[in-house]
Parts: sequence; C-alpha cells; structure tokens
Amino acid sequence: MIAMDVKEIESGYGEVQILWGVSLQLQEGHLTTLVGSNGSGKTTLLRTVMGLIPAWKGTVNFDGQDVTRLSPHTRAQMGLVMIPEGRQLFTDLTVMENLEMGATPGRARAGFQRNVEWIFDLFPRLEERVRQVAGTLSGGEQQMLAIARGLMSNPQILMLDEPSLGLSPLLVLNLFEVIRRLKEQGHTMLLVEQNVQMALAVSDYAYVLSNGRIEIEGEAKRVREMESVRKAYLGL
Amino acid sequence: MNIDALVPSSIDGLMLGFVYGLAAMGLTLIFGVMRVINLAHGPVIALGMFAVYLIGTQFGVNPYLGLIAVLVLGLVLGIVMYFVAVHRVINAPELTTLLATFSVNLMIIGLGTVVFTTTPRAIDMDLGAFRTGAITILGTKVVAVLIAIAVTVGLYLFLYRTRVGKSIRAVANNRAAAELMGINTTGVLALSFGIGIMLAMTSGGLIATLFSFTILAGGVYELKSFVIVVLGGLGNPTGALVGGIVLGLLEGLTTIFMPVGWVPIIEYGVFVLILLIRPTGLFGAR
Amino acid sequence: MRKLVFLALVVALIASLGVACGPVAAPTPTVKRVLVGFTASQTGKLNKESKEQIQGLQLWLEDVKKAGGIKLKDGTMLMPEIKFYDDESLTDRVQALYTKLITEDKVDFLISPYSSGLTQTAAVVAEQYGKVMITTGAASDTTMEQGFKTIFQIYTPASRYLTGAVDLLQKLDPTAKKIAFVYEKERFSTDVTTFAQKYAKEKGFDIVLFEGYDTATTDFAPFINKIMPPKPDAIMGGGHFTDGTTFAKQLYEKKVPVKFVAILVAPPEPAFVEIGDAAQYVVGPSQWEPLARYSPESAKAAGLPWYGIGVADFTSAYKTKYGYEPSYHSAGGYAAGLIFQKGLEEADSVDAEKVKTALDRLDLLTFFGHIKFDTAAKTHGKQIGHEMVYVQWQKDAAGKLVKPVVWPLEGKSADAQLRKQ
Repeated sequence: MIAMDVKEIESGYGEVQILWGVSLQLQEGHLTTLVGSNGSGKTTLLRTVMGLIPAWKGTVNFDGQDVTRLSPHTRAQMGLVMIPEGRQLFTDLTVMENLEMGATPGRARAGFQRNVEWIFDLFPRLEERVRQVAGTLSGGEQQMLAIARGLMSNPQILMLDEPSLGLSPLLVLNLFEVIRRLKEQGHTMLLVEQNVQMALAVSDYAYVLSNGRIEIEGEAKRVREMESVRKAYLGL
Repeated sequence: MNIDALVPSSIDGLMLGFVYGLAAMGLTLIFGVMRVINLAHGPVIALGMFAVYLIGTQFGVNPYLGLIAVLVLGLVLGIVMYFVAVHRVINAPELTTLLATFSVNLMIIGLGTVVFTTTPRAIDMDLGAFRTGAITILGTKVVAVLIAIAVTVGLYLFLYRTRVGKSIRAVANNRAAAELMGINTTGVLALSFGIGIMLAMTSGGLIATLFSFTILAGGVYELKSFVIVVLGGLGNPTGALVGGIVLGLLEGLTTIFMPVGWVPIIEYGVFVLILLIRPTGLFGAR
Repeated sequence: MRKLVFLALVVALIASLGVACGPVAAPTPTVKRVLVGFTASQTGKLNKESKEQIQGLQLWLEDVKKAGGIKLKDGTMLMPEIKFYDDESLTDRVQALYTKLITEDKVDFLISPYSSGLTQTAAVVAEQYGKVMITTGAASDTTMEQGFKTIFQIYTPASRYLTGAVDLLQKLDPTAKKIAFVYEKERFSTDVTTFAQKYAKEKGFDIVLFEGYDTATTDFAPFINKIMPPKPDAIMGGGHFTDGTTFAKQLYEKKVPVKFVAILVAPPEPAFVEIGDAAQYVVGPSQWEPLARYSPESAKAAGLPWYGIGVADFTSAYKTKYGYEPSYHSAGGYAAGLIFQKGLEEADSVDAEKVKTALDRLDLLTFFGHIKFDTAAKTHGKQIGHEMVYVQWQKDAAGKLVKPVVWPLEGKSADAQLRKQ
C-alpha cells in the first residue's frame, strides 16, 4: 500500500531552484530513508512535501488525496507530521503543553490520555520532566520531546529531518533505538539523515539525493552494498 | 511638597494603574504573538469609550453591561482589522506593519472626527464614594479596578488553561512549528489580534466611566501603554497589569513632588532608561 | 462675425434705453453691501462657545436686516453680509483662513474667532492688511498691548477678569487668608490667573498653590490632592468649559473642604447646571448676564449715551430664536455686531480710517455694558469701559439651581453664600 506518492517535484527558494523533478514513494509500515550530502536538497524536499514552501511543479499525494495546494496545518491535520530539523520545540511551554499542542488534530484528542501513557513508556525521562519548561531540557531530552510531540497526533506518516544532528554518540544510539521501536510498532516513516550508516541499517527502502535529483533508489540492504554509495557516504 | 497628599495621591495613582495596565495588555499581547506594534492602539481605546457611551445614550444600557457588548465588538473589529490591514504584510519587515497599523490609526481618527466632532463627551456615573480623612475613593474607580482584575484573571486562565489559549502561546513562541502541529496559525493570529483590540476597547469603555473624552483621548493612553509594555515585559500580558500599577503609582508619587505637567517627562525618562538597561522589559519573557 | 457684432450692438442699445427709461419714481436709496468675515470653531474643543458667539452675531444681523440695513446720513443703506469658515479650533487654520478672507474673499471688515489664542493669530493678520477687526470672545491683555491700530476689543481683558472674585471673597469672609490658583496652560487662563494672583497678594492673601495643567487634562485628582493639605480658604482659576466643569465636579466628588470656589468660563454657562449638586456655590465671572441691570436709565445716571437693544429684549429674542437662554458668549457676539454698526453710523462711511476714528471716539452704554476703547498707542483698542459681573449658583426656595448676580454690589440680584459641605 502506497502511503505517499511524490511525483516530479521542482522547487527552490526565491530564484534559486533546488529540486529538479524528484519522485519518491512511501510504502505503508515501511521506514524509508533519504540520504545525500549537504546541499543536496533533502530538507528542501521535506519542506515542499509538508507545504512549508510551495512546489513549482509536481504533485504530492497522501492518503489517496492530492495535497499539493493545501496549507501545512491542513496536511498535519490529515496525518502528515514532520519533526523539523533543529527540534523547533515550543521552548516557552512546558513538556506537557508541548505534547498537548502535538495532539491538536481532532482525531488525536480522543485518545490523548492513552497516547500520553504510550509516550511516557517510550520516553520515561519525559515523564519525570513533565512540568518543566521545554527550553530548559538537555539536547537529548529535547530531541525526544520533539519526536514525542509529533507522535501525539497519531500520524499516518512521520517525517524526521536530521534527528541525530547535534547529539552525542550515545544519544544517537538511543535515538535509533527509538526509531527501531517505532518501526516495529508499524509506523510509516520517512527519515532524512546525515548519519548514512545507521539510517541504512534500520531502513526498509532508501533514496539517494544528489544535486536535487534522485540518483539511486532501492531496498536499503542493496543500497548499502553499492560501491558508489560506500565510497561517497560511508567513507570506504 | 505636601506629604499629607502622599497617601491619597498614591491610592489614586494605584487605582488608575490597574486601568492603565488593562489598556496596555492588548498592545503587549499583539506584539508578543506576532511581533507587530499596533499603532492604532490609541484610537481603538477611544472607540471603546464611544461604544460604551453610545450604547448608554442610544439604548439606555448601563455602561458596565455595555462593556460586555464592547468585548464582543472589539473581538470582531480586531479580527477584521487583522485581515484588512495586517495579514498581508505580516511577514514583511517591521516598518511595513508599523505603517499599516498607523494608517488604520489615521483612518479611525479621521472618520471619528467627522462623525463625532471633537466635542467632549462624558458618562454620568455616580456610585458613591468611600471616605476617610483626606482619602476619597470613588465607587466608579473601585469597579474599574475590579473589572481590570477580572479581565486579567480571565486572560490568564484563557492563555494557560485552555487549548486555544495555549495554541496562541505556541504560535507566539514558534509559528512554523505550530503550523506543523496542525494549528491554523493564520486563524490564531487573527484571534490574537482580535483579543488585543478587545482588551484595548474594553479599557477604553472603563476609562469612559471615569473621565470625559473625545476621539483623540486615546493618545495619552497609547503612550502610557508603550511605557507599560516595556515595564511589564514585551509580550507578557499579566506583566502588563503589574507594569500599569507601577506606572500609576509612579504618577501618583510624582505629582506630589513636582508640577503635574512634568509627569509625562518622568514617564518617558523611565521608558528610555529601561530600554537601555533591559530591552526585553523588566519582567521580559524574551 | 458681422452678424454677431450687429446683434451685440442691438442688445447694448436696448439695455441703455431700458436704463434711461427706468421708473421715474423717487430714487430708491442705494443699498451697499458690506462684507464681514470671521472664522467659527465648528469643530474642535472650542465649538460650544464659538457657536454661542456666532448665534449672537447672527441675531444682530437679523435685526439689521429687519430694519432695512444700516442707515448713513446721506440715505445710503449698508447691508452687512457675513462670510465664515471652520477654523477647527486651531491657530494654523485661523492664520490661513483670515488671510483667505482678506485676500480672496475681499471682506471689508473682520470679527475675531472665539478665544484669545485664536484671536491673537487673527489680529496679526488683520493688522498686517490694515483691516479693522472687532474682537469678541477674546480677553487677553497681551494681544491688546502690541500697538495694533485696527483691532478693537469688546470683552473685559484678563487683568480685570478674576479680580472681582478676590474682592467678593474679602467682603464675604474677612477671615479668609489662603487661596489656591489652578489654571489651564494657555494664554487666556494663564493671564487671568496671573493677574488675579498678583491682585490677591496685594490685598494681603497667602497664595498656597499656583500651578498650571495641560489643555487636554481630564483628571484633576492630582491637583486636588495637592490643594487639600495646605487647607486653602478658596480655590480660583480654571480654563474653558469642559475642564472647568470637570474640575467643579471632581471638587464636589472629593468633598474638598474649601469655603469659596471661583472658576472661569464654565459657571456662567446655563449648561453648567448639568453637573447637579456639584454646581452649588460655584462662583464664576461673566462678561454679561441676562439679569444684568444695564438700561437707558442707568446710562443716564452714569452720564453715558445709550445705544441699541435692551437686555430683556435681547434675552427674549435669543430664547425665541434658539430655544434656550443666551450666555455671555452669545451677548458678546451680538455686541460685536452692534458696536460695528455704531462705528459705521458714526463714521458715516465704510472707509477703514473713518471707522477706526469713530470707534476711537465711542463711549457709551449698551445691553452688554459700558464700551470704551483705549486710544494710547501701545494699548490701542483695549477695552477700558467694560466690567465683569459675578454669578453664583445657588438653590432657590424650591431647591432648584439658579445663577443670580452676586457681585458687584451695585449690580447684584442676590447675596453671595459661603460654600457648605
């Protein structure tokens, strides 16, 4: 089952074009990874899919609907959730209030209590700090809160933009453990990562983005074995 | 220098301070949520004065009941103002939104002068007074203080205990992230602007029960509001009440020690001083 | 082309025949139009008082029209016409509009706007163009001490505005010693209070406060807090209608324990009664009152000629036309027209120089009071004949608020009362 179908996306900032006809598909229940070097357009693609920047050409189909012209908040209401680069928490609000904001979409409110318990099970440290202002949490805790917040809305698709950025090696391990557990629970996810090694290790499917174009795609196991990939991204 | 006047003057100033604080609340809320300096703040306060006055004279409604209508009127007017004047320039540099709100200021003053002329109006309200020695506390002032407190508490509960209120704080904190959460940020901004205008108009309605006014009367409260916003912290609505009380007290004390005409000078001196030392305001959140 | 010229010649011929063969009755007196210009504060904070003044002037105009005009000795009838604009209570507008009246509308004579501040500006323009201007509603001394040649003041000037209140206080309560003065920070109120304060000092009073407030002030609590501790016997001063009324109201609300309150401009206005019990005992100087005792008899007694409408006739005519009693602003407006009329009659011409000389020579009693202009070079045109009357709001036997004249003693219709809580 195809959860999301992105076709021939072209977009950029101002006059500068970043993406030159990018297409990808997310299979339901799969973890799909998008890798690429700095400036290849990974974040631009996510933002276009989310609607934060308009697509100049191409379409985004999600849950069987064309959402290309819909506002970001409408897409979020429909179940397309993005955990943005750099966390973007509500630093003035408490941990609990951040989670409440995550549960804004209508269908998320009914199961709020249940979701909170599930979140605390996944992230025990957050339960300890539930009344603390988000800006005072440590880097790792903030990353967890960012993911937790995204999960509170019962997303159909979860998109994570560079979640390991700025985390210590120990916290990165921790992070990928969480991602693995979410995958086991059956969430459809799109992961954009610099840490190619760990991303490919945990994914089902992978895309390689270079200069705004999809260079390589395939099952993660196979992409990991490719000579060009190993040379360019795994330092071998 | 009259030390005997210290107590009555301080009480007068303190009580007025609550009303000043309420007047400033809308300005600081709008700035806190969307980084817009609403230069139409003064005329909106004056509109609140006229609204209560007209509801009283045309429909014979008690001014305090009229305030409820003004609350609703202010909210609607604010939302309309948002979409007409602010929405399209909200991402433009701050100067653009300044000009946009300033033009609304001019329009309200211009239209208001034509419709109402600058003949002073007054609402005749007598709720008796509490007297002891040299101190006289007017009933109307007591009611004004109580209403200011009630509105502040209401605003606080709204922002900290309701989902909509929290989403306003979220948008104020990080608009892009709020959008990603599924929050209709444009709607939230319009609502916040509406609440800001509502607060300003309500304070105007209260002021009308205390003093006479014209369409130009909002100007002096707009200036005081800027000082209060800086005192109480930019974007901190409950801080505005504290800032207002501080300012009121300052006024009450200053008039004892120097000619009354010096009070504005002292106020602006304080304003500049605080901006230099703590630009985010005394109780600034950011 | 030739047809057109021929047609024009025919028309001209017929026209000249028509004129020559006009009615051969007695020659009808020629009616000459005299254009009088001024500005009115139709908007802005002075609009209330200005309206009263203009209504008075328009009543005078109506009376002149009823009489067929102003008759000169050779039988010429002068018919005055007025032209005015809205000055919005702003001096900038007065400057521009008076210039316009003179240079574009080509008025023959001018009347001042309402208030000393605006009149100062108008006077400069009038003097500059050599136009004769009669000022009313303007009581500043300083304006009339600039050596103007063509400006003539009807109102009692500020230096003699509140001095009667000090005399009244002394008579009413010889034990009173301390006075507090509060004034609006504009030309007129500042002048009046400064002169009154000086006069009070000369009379042996102790001045416990002398402070000004901004024109836009609506809250007098800070002043009242300052006035109370030194425990003055009297409070005097004020500004214009709105602030004067608010001040009186707040003095009452705060139950300030003073024995005597004299406020400028506001108390003589019939609308002052709207503040209810707060109006009781408040004294106010007035340029004129409906109960004033000026008449042809009192003129004779004073050895002055009498001119114009009587007090009772003016009051009833105004009430009939406008539906309410005239205030002194209304009377001032009518008086301006009246004196202007006398000036034209005495000059027997509309020539500015002749009218000026005629006005210089005036010394008469009217319904408005004694009118005489100073002729010394520096203070030319200043009003030196007219005196203020003082009213006090009191409750009559039925408990209704009325404002009898309580000072000067020769003109009073009731005794003054000390203020009780």
